Amino acid sequence: MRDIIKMLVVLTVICAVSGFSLALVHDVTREPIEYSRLKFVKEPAVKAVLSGYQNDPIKDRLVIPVGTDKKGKPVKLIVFPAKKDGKTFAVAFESAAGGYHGDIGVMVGVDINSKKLSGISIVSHTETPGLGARIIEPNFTDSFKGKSLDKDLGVSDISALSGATFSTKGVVTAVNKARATLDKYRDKMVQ
Amino acid sequence: MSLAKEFTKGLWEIVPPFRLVLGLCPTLAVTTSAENGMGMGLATTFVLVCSNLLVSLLRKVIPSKVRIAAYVVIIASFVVIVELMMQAYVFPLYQALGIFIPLIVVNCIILGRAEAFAGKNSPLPSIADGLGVGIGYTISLTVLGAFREILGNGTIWSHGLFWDGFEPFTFMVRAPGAFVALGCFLAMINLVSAKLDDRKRRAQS
Amino acid sequence: MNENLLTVSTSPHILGRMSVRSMYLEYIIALAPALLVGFYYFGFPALITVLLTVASAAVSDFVASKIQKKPTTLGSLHILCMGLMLGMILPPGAPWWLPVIGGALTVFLGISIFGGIGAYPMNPVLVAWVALAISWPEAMNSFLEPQALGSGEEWNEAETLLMQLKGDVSTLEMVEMGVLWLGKVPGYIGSTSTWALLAGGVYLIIRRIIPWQIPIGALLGAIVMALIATYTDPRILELGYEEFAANMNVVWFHLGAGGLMIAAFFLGPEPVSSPVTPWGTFLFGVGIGLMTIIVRTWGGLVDGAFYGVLLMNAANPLLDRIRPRVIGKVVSGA
Repeated sequence: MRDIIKMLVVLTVICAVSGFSLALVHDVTREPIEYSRLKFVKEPAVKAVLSGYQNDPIKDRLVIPVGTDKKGKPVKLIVFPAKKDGKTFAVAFESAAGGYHGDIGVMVGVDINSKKLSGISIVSHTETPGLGARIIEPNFTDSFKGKSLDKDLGVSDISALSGATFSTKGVVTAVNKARATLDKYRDKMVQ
Repeated sequence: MSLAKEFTKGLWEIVPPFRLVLGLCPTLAVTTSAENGMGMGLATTFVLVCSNLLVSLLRKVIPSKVRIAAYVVIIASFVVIVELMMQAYVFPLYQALGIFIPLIVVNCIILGRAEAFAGKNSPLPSIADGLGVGIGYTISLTVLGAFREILGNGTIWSHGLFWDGFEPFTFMVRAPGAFVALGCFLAMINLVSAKLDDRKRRAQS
Repeated sequence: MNENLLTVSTSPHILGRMSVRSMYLEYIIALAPALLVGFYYFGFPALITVLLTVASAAVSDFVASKIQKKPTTLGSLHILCMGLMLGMILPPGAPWWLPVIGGALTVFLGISIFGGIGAYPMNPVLVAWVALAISWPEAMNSFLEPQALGSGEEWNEAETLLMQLKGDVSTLEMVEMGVLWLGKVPGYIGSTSTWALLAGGVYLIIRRIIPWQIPIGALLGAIVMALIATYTDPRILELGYEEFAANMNVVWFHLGAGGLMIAAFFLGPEPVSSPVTPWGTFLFGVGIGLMTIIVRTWGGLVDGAFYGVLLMNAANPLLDRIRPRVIGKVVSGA
């Protein structure tokens, strides 16, 4: 009996101390973790699609609620604004669409006034190496630059990849989805 | 046994991946570059030293029937601390090591050292033991990582080594290359130690 | 004292006239038609690539035997045959270092490291091929447009049919089966001509160099899987095939395109790394066929034939457990 009580007490104490110290560390590191997540995951893509800004788009990010997903959790759209003299002139945000093989995540940069693409960058994909994976090459992504988002883009508007029709279509669809998002939330993005 | 001896045995006699052939999962998976290998090694060393110290301090308090459970809780706590710290302050390394940081919990080396050494010895030798094994592990991973990085990426510590237009042997930084590299190293270590044993035997006779 | 009275050795226990050398000689003879078709359509670049591969393999074997202090085994033609097969599954006109490294990998990574001929668990040619394909996907995926020998035109880069199929299934409708089976399509040097490979393969079966179960199994597996694909894959259903004959067209396409034929007749049945029992060999073949079509239709890679062979190589120890029933039994309690 004494043994069992001793076991219980020791284990409980160890677990409690462990839980307490973990809570402490978690608290201390929460802010830096969130910032470095955005900085190292999103910033390279944001930098690739925006230019000529004077602010830190990561720090000035806006979070716009855009409804709920299937499980009822709220979905948030993170918008990275590019500002010059305190005014937003372009925004970057993520959009996704199915490629040949799962979703392709595309960071889309749009000039607010002219509604022209300032660039796109592929954030995540699982396309076929050597074929669909060529969507990350600058040759392909650069061909979106300067295209107007007044109407939906088609595959013929950009330099489509031969042998990777589905992947090309996936990226174009993602950009067209971004166009819809932009039209819907433009006011919230600019403020 | 002197402290120095506890320390040095981890560097050659029982260097984990090559002599004990323990902790292979991270050894194979994260040694795609010298930097990753070293990061993984240091994280493991930190956990190993801390858990060795704590286990050794508590060795008389923890009842032997629940010792494994207690060790696992201690190890897991340190692993989570390392994981959070890495995310907060060295995020690129965290990205590269990914799932293998949490998996340090189930790395046999750590529980193995706690059970085989720290649970029976006083704190100072336990720290020396942890440091020795940890540094041995770090060096092994760094060397393996450097070997794979040079061949598979043409760089060392992210510095280019070769001429422009050099096409690196990417195979080596992919999964199959890990097995090939580890196999080569095991063979080499065995060869060297066989030679050493041979010499020792001859010196004795 | 009398320790050596009974000699225990592994098979073979009965010696025939066939030697390693004569076996691989037959292999090379069987490879010749497909190789010649490759030279005919891809000309000088193909010739250079194959020669470099064979030369590199031979030199590597020489070096390896020197390092291991063993007599060189070049005379057995084994290495030459391996080099030749690797050359046949490289793209014509590859940069010079690709076949050179490939030949060295075949010998060092595929054969020597496991202890030489007879000891390797996986087909060394494919080990080298996969290492190359992982490391230099660009070089391994640039093909030449075929042209008849001596037409003297510039070589144009081209995509293989399977690469086009990945992007767009309607490729299936545009292919002329006759041209495809003849081998006048972009592809690896020795794997484009289905008829030539078939002829070589049948020769090997008749000469009893390879068991017939592997190629037959591989082709059956591929046919079944291709039919399943045509009746279930929504992208192919969209093409609107109605008759069985039209669906069989897809099967003919898959049999003719890519590396299936060379994998079924030459790379799969490679004597050292394939199973030995009848059922084992058959299942080995079926596995290759299934994998090929699964990867081609739904997978991330372009062609699955070579990966199929490697995967089945890995399953070899399991397949070898499928044995014929042993005659006689152990009487319990005797």
